[in-house]
Amino acid sequence: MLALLWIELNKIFRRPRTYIAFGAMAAIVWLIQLALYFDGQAYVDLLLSNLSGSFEFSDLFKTQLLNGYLICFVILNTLLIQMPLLVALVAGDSIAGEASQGTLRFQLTRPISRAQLIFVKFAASVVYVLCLLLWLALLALLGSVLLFGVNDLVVLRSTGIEQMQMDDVFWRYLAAFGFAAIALTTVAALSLLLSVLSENPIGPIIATMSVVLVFTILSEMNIPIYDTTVKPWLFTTHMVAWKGFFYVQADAEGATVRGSVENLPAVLRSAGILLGYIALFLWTSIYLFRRKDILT
Amino acid sequence: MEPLVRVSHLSKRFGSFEAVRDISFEVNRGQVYGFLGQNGAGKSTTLRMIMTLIRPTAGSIEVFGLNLEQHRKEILRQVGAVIEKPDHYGYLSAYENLRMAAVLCGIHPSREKLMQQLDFVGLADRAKSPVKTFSQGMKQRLGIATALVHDPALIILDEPTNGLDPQGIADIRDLIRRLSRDHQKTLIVSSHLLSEIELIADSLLILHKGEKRIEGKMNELLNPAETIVELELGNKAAASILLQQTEWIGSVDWRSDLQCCVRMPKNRIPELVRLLSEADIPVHAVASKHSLEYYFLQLTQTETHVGPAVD
Repeated sequence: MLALLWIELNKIFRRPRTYIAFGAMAAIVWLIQLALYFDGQAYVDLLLSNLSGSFEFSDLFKTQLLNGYLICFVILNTLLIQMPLLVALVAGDSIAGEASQGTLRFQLTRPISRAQLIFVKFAASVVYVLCLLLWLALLALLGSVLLFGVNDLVVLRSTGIEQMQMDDVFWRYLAAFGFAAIALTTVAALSLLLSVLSENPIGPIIATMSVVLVFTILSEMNIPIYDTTVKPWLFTTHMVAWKGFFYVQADAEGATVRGSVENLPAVLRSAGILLGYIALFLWTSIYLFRRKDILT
Repeated sequence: MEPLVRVSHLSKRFGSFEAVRDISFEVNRGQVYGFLGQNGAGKSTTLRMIMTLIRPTAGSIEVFGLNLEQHRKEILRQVGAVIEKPDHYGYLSAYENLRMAAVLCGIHPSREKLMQQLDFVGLADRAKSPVKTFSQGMKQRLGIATALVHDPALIILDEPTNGLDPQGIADIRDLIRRLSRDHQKTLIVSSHLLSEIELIADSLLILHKGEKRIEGKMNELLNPAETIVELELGNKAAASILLQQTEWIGSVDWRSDLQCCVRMPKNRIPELVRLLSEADIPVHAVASKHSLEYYFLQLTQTETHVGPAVD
């Protein structure tokens, strides 16, 4: 099985187009970092302008606010919406791309089972997701910390602001990246399923993005009937639950509690639902692939 | 002797279209078994079913005495195939593609062994070149190398000479002969060209529109006593009488007032020409085809059902 996984990884990482995702991500992160490096204070003023009626902010606070942790948070908010496309580029291609090239025959005329092949392709997609996230962590977290330094992280919410002490932030990023891995693996599993249904790699990529887009719109819409019936079951609703690691509990005096997460059970529940979706997509992929006639 | 491959009442339906209809055949160990038919006759569909790429609608396949559905992995460990056209990863080298094929078969041969395989198909000097730079013939030879990498007992080659130049065709033909003669492999080779199959196969099966039409050993099917001679003659009435009276002529089929086909032993063609000349019947043209070729041409040139010329 490991040898098969090595083959799949070799195929993914030997293709030049795989690195488009890494390049695109680096370009976006560097552009954000560059803009905030030269004009960060204006950005902070804009962020705080919504809260200026109820809070007074000192200049020192405003200066300290713009640090590596905040920049990373901004980047994650921007990029984790785009990353499903980058994941679909590889996972959506894994079966349909090979079918269109004819190399699926090359694999399926060998003594490996179809379930094994799906597992291996899924595992390779997971490794790709982890590499993307590691790359993002290097660029967005390490890069921003080196460029802007560290300080307390202040996160703006519609209900107010959350402030975390700087030595209480790093583990939250680790947890958020871990959660993002589960969320993006869900997209990879969906893309793999759609790839099984197609013989053209463009189809699964577009279909994955369409599903993510429609579900995200439904997740964000404020229609009461959907709030209790549809939204809780859309995987896109749960993909953004990584933000929960940056919402902290407050004690009786209103001070934030170190190491706390405001609603950890909700975050874990979201993770559980995403894992359920991964299992469902994977099982369906195997079921359909085992019955599929390879005609290309 | 137990056949290596036994196909029984195999059918495949795609919606309302029946691609393969109730075909049965057996391939014995050491044979080169030819699969002949026009494009769309059902050859590739049948071979895909043997390679488990397509699920049959009905029927069963046994390979090495084992049921294919129940023992798929066990069987495929001993089968190598190139179905339709050999497809490789163009951005990888010939050596890397071959090594990948080996790993997929569950083996990890040494570099030396893989280089020997490439040498066998004449690609050792291009081992490091990306496959996307290869000609069609080189890809075909690499396809055969990947099919042979795990030393299978049964090799299936679907249209192996398709798209090749004459030298490429000769190379592949030579490779197939060597595999059969020197390495005692059993091969199933499909083609839409009878001339190709008759040069390499011991036995033959003709498929047409998904149905089996003819099956038999080549030396029996190409029996010279069953040659079809096409004649272009000047006097139908006189020729008819003469041909009917000649006892070694099997059958006469007039195509027009000038053209007829007669079934007769090939070695008596000069005698027939002499008889016609002595009877003052002008002979404008004489062409001989063996009966299998004649039958296959009838199949490929007409859409109507033609009864087999060879029983």
